[in-house]
Amino acid sequence: MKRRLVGTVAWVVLLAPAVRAGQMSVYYSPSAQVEYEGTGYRSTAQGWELKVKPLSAATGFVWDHDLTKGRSLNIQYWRNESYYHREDGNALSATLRQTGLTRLAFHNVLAGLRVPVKERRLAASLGLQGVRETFDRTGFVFNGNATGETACSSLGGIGACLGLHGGSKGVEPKKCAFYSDWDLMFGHLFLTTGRPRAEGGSIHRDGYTYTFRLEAGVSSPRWRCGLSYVRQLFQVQFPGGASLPSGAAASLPINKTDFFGPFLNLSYVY
Amino acid sequence: MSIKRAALIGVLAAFFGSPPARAAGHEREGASVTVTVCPAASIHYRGEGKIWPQSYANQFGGETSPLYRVEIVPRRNSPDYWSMTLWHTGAFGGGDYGTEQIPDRRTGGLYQSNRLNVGFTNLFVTRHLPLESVPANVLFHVSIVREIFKRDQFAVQGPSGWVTTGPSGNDDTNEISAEGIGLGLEGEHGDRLYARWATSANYYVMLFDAKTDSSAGHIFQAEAGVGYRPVPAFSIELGALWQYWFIPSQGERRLSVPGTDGAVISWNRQETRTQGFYVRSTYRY
Repeated sequence: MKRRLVGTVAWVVLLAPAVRAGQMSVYYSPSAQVEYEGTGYRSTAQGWELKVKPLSAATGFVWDHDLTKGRSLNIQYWRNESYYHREDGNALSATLRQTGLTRLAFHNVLAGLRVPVKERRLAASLGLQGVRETFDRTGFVFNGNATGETACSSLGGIGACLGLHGGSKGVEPKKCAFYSDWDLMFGHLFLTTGRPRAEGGSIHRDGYTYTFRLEAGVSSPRWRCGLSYVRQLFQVQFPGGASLPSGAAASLPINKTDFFGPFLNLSYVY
Repeated sequence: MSIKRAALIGVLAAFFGSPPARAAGHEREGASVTVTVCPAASIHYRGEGKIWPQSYANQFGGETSPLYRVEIVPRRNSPDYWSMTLWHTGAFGGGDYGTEQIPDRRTGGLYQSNRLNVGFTNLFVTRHLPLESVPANVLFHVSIVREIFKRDQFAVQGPSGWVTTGPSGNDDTNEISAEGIGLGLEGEHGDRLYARWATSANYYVMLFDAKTDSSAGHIFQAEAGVGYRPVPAFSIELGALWQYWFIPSQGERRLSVPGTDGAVISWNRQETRTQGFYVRSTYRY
């Protein structure tokens, strides 16, 4: 998988400059906040919410590639570095609560076409979005007892997103300059899936997202270096609600993940 | 094929196909009033939340209600322009009531049954910006949305059996409101005979109502239609629209029904889907 990713990036780096203009950017945050809240139907009274909120390193790759008539192709990929972090449940009483350790990893991919707005430094975007999250859970304590169980679950969604992109290019030939850049996208997930499924809950289809990035920095004709703030949300609903033999939740139908933090970014302009 | 899927395919085909045409409103100056009516919009609602000890989710059979939409565009002097759109559906507009039932997980039977009408009154203020080289406008929305739940004729299970409030008994109206921004695209292709499409995605927060989490959901809309413009000042159009709405709120509020734990009148999370065929008429002046 890593070899394939490296190969794709190398292909893009080598081939893209020969074809047309564009920009490739890497975003890195040593400490971005991920806040997950799973809710929805449970067949037991021992809780209706699970929350895990790790601070973790996160990375984003953004590729802008100019097409004809001022249009451009924009592809974004965002992920976090996952690790086990304490997860808390919410229940009728403390003794009924579910707690544990959860490793949450997410992948957010957006691919869109940007079209300039007439007589403005704005571009509209229409694209597709895919979200995938995996949860590795261990160290369950349920009803006050350590269960010794582990659980792996996953969920994902595919949909469309609409957005606006703006900013100042800030690049003059052979000069360094300040630049700014931002984009905002709202998405709807038409197709969602996950496992384990239990047909639980009544709200268990579709989902929605937003993606926001605000960036400023210094640019030269070939490079850009900046500081940005990124905020994303994905809500994925599917027929979850599955429980482990002990009764602890293994999946939930309504899954909301907020992801936000400051990022450093470096861009190569070709 | 569902209306949702047909509307989505229509939007994507129109955007990427880009037939020779002009974007909506590009070359027409002056003000306009547009009235859209879905005479029998289908409204499906799902409520979920911690209703202890009885239940977690409701069951609603759905309802049919007329949906009204009025869009006003003031006189404009540039390709960019503002519009204001008011959506309304519900009992006030002649909507039907459906049956809402709440299962009782303790007994496996029903805890509550009542009539329910789900409506909404949503106001969108929109900036329309034409795109370069594509016959479409990008839309930037600011909106205030209010979902309205009218319930009556409660039958609630008590320790000694069903307690009913009957047609002349208690009723309840409660509302959820949220404020948000959204982005969309729209296009109109053709002249006397034209095709029109629009789609928007909106994200909401609760500026005033939130007790804990201000995140307040999402509305996605898609619509497409075919119209005829017999004279430049007037057009009439037939089409279909689809709207998805998710909004959280404070749940587990109850109406007092003596001899029971009370009738459930609110949920923590609601999902409302609205779809139907519409007639749309525009008058320009």
